[in-house]
Amino acid sequence: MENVIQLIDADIPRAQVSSPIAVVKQVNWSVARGEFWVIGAQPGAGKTDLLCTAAGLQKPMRGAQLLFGKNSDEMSEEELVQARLRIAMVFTNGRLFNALTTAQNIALPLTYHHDLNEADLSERVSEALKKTGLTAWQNKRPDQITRNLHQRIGLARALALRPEVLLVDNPLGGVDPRMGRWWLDFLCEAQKETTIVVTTDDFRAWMDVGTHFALLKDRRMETIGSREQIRESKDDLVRELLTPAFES
Amino acid sequence: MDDSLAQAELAPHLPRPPLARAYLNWIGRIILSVVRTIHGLGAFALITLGVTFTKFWKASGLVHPMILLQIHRAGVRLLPMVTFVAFALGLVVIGQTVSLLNRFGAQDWAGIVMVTVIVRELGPLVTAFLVLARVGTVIVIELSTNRATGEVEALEALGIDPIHFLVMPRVLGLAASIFSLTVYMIIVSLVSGYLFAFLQDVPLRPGEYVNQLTSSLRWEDFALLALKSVSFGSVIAVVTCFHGLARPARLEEVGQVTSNAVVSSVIACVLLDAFFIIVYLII
Repeated sequence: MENVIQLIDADIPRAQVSSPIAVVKQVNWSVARGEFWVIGAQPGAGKTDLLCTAAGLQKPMRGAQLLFGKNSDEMSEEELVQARLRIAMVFTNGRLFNALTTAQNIALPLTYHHDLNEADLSERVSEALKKTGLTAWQNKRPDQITRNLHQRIGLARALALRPEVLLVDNPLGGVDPRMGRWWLDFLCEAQKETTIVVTTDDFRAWMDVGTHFALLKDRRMETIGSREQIRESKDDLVRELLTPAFES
Repeated sequence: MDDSLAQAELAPHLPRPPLARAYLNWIGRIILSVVRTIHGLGAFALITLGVTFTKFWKASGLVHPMILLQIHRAGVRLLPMVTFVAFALGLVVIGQTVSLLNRFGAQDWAGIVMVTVIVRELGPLVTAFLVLARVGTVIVIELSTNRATGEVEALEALGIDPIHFLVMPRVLGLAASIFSLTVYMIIVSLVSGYLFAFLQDVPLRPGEYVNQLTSSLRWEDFALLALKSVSFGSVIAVVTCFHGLARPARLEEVGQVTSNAVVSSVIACVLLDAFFIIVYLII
C-alpha cells in the first residue's frame, strides 16, 4: 500500500519554539493510505510537534521526511504547499481566526486556493458545516461559541479542502462525553475515505476505532501494532493509558 | 582582599559588584542583537519583496480587498488627525517663519524655507510618525497576537503563505497611505501657514506666496517626495510586521515586542531621512 507519510530516523523539533533540543528522537514511522493511527503519550511528550512534522509544517532536525513518497528536501515551495493541502492538520483548540465567523473561517482556505464563484463557495462551506453538524453556528465568531466546538470548527475548515490525510491533535482532550462520542463516530465514518492519525492521552476510547497504535515515551516513538497487540502489551505507560483516570 | 570580594565570599546571595568585563559583555550582546535584527530585517524585507512580485495576482479576490482595507485604516481614518497636526505644523513653522522673515524684510525667502522645511523634511517625517503611532503599533500587536495564539501556524497548515496574506497587504497599504497623507499634510500645512501669516498682517499676497513656492520647487522635489513617503510606508510596515511575525512570541511578550518595533521603526525612518538629505545635497 502507498505510504502517504514517512519519517526516517527523524528528530522532531518543538513546534513554534526555536530550541536546539529534539522533543522526540530517531522516529521511524510510515503511514500507509487507509490506516487509522492512534498515538498515545503523556501531556507534553511531543504529540503536537510530531503531527506538525508529519503534516509538513516543519522539517525534522535530522533524518528524512517523505510526503506522498517524495522527500520534502527535494520539493519546491509550491510542491510542498500542494502536499500540505492533501494533509489536513486539526489543532487541539482549532486555532481559529477570531475575527471571522465559523462560515468565514471555513471559506478562507477555499477562497485563497480556489477561484470559486459565490454559489460554489457557499455550497462547499455548507457541505463542510453539514458534515460536522455546525450549521447552527455558521454566523457566530469563535468567542461566541463554546470551546468544546472550536476543534470541530477546525475540522470543518480542514475538510473544506477535501484532504486525503487527516491529522487530529487530541480530539477527546477536555471535551464532554457526548462530544467525545461525536468525534469517535465521525472519525470512524471518515476512515472509509481518509487516512487518519489521532493523538491521545487515553487509549481506551480508541480501542475499537484505531487500526495501528504507537506510543511516545522517553523521547522515542514506539510502534505497538494492532488492537490485539496493545491489549497484550506489558508496557507501563500503555497500561496507564488504558486505565480509567477515576475508578469508583 | 578587596572589600567587595570579601563581602561576596561571606554572603554569596548578595549581588556581586559589576566588573569591567560584564560591561563589555553587555555591549557585545547589544551589538550582536542589533546585527541579528538587521540581518533578520533584511532577509524579511527581501522575502516580502519577492512574494509581492511573484504572488501579487494570486488569490487577488481575497488579498486585494485587504490592501484597500489597509489604505482605509492607515489613510482615510487618519485624515482628521493629520488635518489637525498639519494645521498646527503650518501655524508653528510657516506662520512663525514668515513673520520672522518679514521682520528682516526677507519675505522673498519664505517659499524656499517652506519647501525645505515642510515639503522635504517635516511633511513626510511627521506623517510617517503619525502612521507609526496609530497603525504601526496596531500591526505589531495584531501580528504578534496572531503568532502567539497559533493563527499564523493555522494559515501555514491551510497552505496560505503568511507573508502573502498578512504582510504584503500591509506593506502596499501603508506605502500608498503614507504617500497620500504626506501630500495632503503638505497642502494643508502650506495653506494654514499662509492663513496664520495673513492674520498677523504680514504683507505677503497669496499670488506672491504661490509664486515663491512654485519657483522654489524643482521636479526632483516631487520625485524624491514620492520616493521618500513610499519608502517610509514600506519600512514601517516591514519593521512592524517583522517584529510581530518573525519570532515566536508569547502573549505576555506582546507589549515588549511592540515597544521594540516602535524603536526600530523610528531609527529606520531617521536613517532613511538622513539618506534622503544626502541625496538632496548631491543633486
